[in-house]
Amino acid sequence: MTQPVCESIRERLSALLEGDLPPDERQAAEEHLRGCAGCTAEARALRETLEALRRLPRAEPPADLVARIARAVQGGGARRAGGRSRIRRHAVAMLLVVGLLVGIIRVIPHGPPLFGGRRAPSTAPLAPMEQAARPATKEAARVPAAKSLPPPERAPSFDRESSLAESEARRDRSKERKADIQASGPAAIGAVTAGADASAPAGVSSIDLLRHPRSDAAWVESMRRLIVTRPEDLVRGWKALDPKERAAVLAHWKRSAIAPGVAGDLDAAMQRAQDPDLRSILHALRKLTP
Amino acid sequence: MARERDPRGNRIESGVSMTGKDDGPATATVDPDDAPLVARAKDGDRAAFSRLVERHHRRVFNTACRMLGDREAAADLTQDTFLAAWRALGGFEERSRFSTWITRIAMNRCRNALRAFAVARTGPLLVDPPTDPARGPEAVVGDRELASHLERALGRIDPGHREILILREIEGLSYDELAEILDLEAGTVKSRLHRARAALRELLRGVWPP
Repeated sequence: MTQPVCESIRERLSALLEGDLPPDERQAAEEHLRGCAGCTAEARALRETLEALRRLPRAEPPADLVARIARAVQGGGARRAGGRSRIRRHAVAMLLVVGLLVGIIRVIPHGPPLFGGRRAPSTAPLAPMEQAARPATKEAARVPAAKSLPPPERAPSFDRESSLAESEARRDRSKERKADIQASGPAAIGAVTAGADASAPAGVSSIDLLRHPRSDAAWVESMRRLIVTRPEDLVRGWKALDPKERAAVLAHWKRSAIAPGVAGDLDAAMQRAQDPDLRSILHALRKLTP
Repeated sequence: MARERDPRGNRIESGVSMTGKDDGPATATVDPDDAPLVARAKDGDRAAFSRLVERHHRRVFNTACRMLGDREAAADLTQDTFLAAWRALGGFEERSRFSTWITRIAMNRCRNALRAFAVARTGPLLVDPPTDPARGPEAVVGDRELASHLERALGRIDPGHREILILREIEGLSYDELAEILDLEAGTVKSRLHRARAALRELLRGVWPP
């Protein structure tokens, strides 16, 4: 049966092995070990476990891995030392966020023009803002909200050194989210724009329009503020870029994506999204629906 | 405590003591100066980058393999990691070593992958221990059994514990490198390592040592 002192010693065994204990604690622990067979056995077991872990054989990579990486770098590795590709990447990230936003709009086919802009005359009468939270189609109703997407990342902050790696990681998470959506079937997918969408920046084949579970009016409003009205607030958080680069991102954004502040364009995107003839989502050249 | 590696890259322990303070970088693999290659790669020299890949892909692969418990996923992740590094090299300011930087990218990717796929290893051994006939059949069976217990325990342990055990015990990184890769304070690194070891012991209690 272990005594309280034994428990206290056992909590410190790893630190003792590592030489991390202060001298007085180390002396007390060693003294205890000399007189306690149980704790001595524990210390030995821990030491032997760690030694065994260190002896685990290394996994040898596939023989062709270096060549595969070289091919990937050769093929898809266009990059740049300067800011261009970084700007492109951030602009794309921003576009994806807007895609999420537009996806929300898509679940309110008869809702009001959320952003107070122009509206095509053919649409249904205006409805209260609260409808934003209500799935309006059978297809939407089938979508399990809990299963859906996590909130989009907002105003990411980067440390310069690993910013692009982090950006890559974010893009990966985005891919994973889409894979998740794919797994849950086409019904879970919001809708889409055409592949050669004129509003997409060069190199982006389409805008992703995904439904988001947090489609309540308050969230929509906060996203609207963040992305549509004041994209500079979002971009300001991208510390990896210097002010010039941030300005370039904004300029690029205003030039090539859905123009910030132009509510009518978002409305139009919403209506395009409702078109039943549009049926696929492309992301990084990967088709997610038939 | 001195740490060396045999020709297969496995670490050889010598003089393990109960209180062996280990201050310096624990990795004893020769860490050639990557700076000239990094500089050339930044200028777009793919051959230089390939040399960096050759030098570091084994560690990235082994780390990913142990983190994910799947060789194929680890190979894909290794490829993606280096591709991301190539693309992001312009932003690498070399405040840390290339090996630390690339491991950080890989570990972030492992974390992302683990969010999507729960890992619970129950299958055959990920890596077969080398068989040394001189040690006799019993020892060989014992090695396999131990490796199997460890792999299972690593598959079941909390990923936060798994990553620090892999980087410290298997890859032999220093506290400083761990802090940088895992984005932790130096003091937190130690306490997390100690908790991870205790958690590993708990998982092996009654199983190993026999």
